[in-house]
Amino acid sequence: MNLLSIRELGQLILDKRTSSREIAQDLLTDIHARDKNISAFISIDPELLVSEATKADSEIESGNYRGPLHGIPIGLKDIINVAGYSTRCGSPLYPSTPATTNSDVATSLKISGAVIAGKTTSHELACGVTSPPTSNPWNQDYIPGGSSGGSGAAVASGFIRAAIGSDTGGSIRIPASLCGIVGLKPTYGLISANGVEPLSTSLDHIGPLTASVEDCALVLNALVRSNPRNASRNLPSDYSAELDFGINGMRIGVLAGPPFAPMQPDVEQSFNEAISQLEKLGATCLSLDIPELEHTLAVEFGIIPLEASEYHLRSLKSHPEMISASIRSLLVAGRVLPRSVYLRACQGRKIISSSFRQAFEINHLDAVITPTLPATAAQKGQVDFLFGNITEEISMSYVRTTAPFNVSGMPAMSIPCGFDGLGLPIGLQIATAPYCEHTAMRIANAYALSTGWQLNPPSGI
Amino acid sequence: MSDEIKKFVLSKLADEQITNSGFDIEQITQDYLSRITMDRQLDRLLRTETIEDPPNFDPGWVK
Repeated sequence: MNLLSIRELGQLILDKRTSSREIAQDLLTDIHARDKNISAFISIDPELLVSEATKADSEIESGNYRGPLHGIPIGLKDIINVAGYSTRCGSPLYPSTPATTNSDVATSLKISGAVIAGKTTSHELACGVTSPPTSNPWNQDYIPGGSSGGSGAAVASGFIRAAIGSDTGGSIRIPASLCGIVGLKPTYGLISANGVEPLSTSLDHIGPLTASVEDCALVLNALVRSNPRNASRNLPSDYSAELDFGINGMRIGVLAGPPFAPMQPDVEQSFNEAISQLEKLGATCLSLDIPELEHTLAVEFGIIPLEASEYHLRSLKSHPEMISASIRSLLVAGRVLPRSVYLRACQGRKIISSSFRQAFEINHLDAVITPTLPATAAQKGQVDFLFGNITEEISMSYVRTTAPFNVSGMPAMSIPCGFDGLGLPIGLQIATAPYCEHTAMRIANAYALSTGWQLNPPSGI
Repeated sequence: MSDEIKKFVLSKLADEQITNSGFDIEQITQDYLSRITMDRQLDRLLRTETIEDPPNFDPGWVK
């Protein structure tokens, strides 16, 4: 059952060959049997899950069918408020009392008929790439990525077809890439962040992690309803409508220099093969150089500490011992650094954004591609990567290739594009102009269907 | 690591009323310095912008 797509599962429910209640009960059995090794979920409420699923069945039975998500279980990262569940943000700072209201994201999913499967593990305060205690489903000695690591692992493990995460410097795309699934960071502001605990409000994005591109489009359809402003934007009414239109004639910029280089040889090989595949599908791929992107991390880390420390100041003063050393250090830096750092980073952000815009306009681009990450999953406890003779801390390695699109606010998604020598997944990143998620997904779908990478689950599923 | 910078960081922490309890001042100072170094890297980016897109400043009385 868990290898069926959302559309296929939805059809089975409609045809009464299964029910949402049965899917929910199977999910609970599956989580009980297998999640002790993965720790993708941080909290599940079996009664609530089964009762929501039963309610979905009744609605469908009575003719109130809401669409392809109706009756489908979806997980939410544990920084997103869902009434009835506590929001712990991977931190002891947060109370165990359940939230009384839903985030806009949870509301929009419920309106679409989705059933909340439970809360997935977040790295502490959504600020990190390892998401302990979650393991990578491909090899449990390796990290799943983060900070939406539980969402990535839950989907890659086959527990659920879709989960919601947040992405401030890569926190959706990093676990998507490391766990071999699809992850979309939409355009900044497309999805409402109301009711989601922030890390850095001007860089936070909410989006889906899914088992396939089509699943991603169906979940995005629901999520865009979370933001009333989208009604006045000229957005597609159905993100899945153009998935099969192909990419013949599209122009795709290839970014492979710094900050995307250096990268591991297996990543480079898979990336080059992906370029060839996109050309075979009819796209023109042109090598691109945007030198301003080398300053991405200076911009990203000029903004995050100051915004994060503003939000967490009270906790920093009252319970510093409850914040892990590395995050505490980041928050303290945010109080100590001069405000000019923030203002300069905001100025740098505009320059990076306009450099992308120029590159798209001058080269008539539909999208740019990069390796999602320069390296595959790190082993648990690993501190650095070695690229030739360059040593780099793992979080810096991961974030340097994803953060350019947080800084620019452009939509960017990761899809599987191969495996390294150890059998760990590699991701391809596709980014487009703002509000062109449909173009990114069209490219992703053409690539995914032609290669079959997204159909490869870890063994045992 | 310069004592002067450490003193500066400590004074900022005091200004911000952040208790020093549990903080590793060496680590925080090092972190502060690395972030300042990172910020300095923006000089080149921000200068590029000035050259390509000079601010439209016309004091009016300069002939």
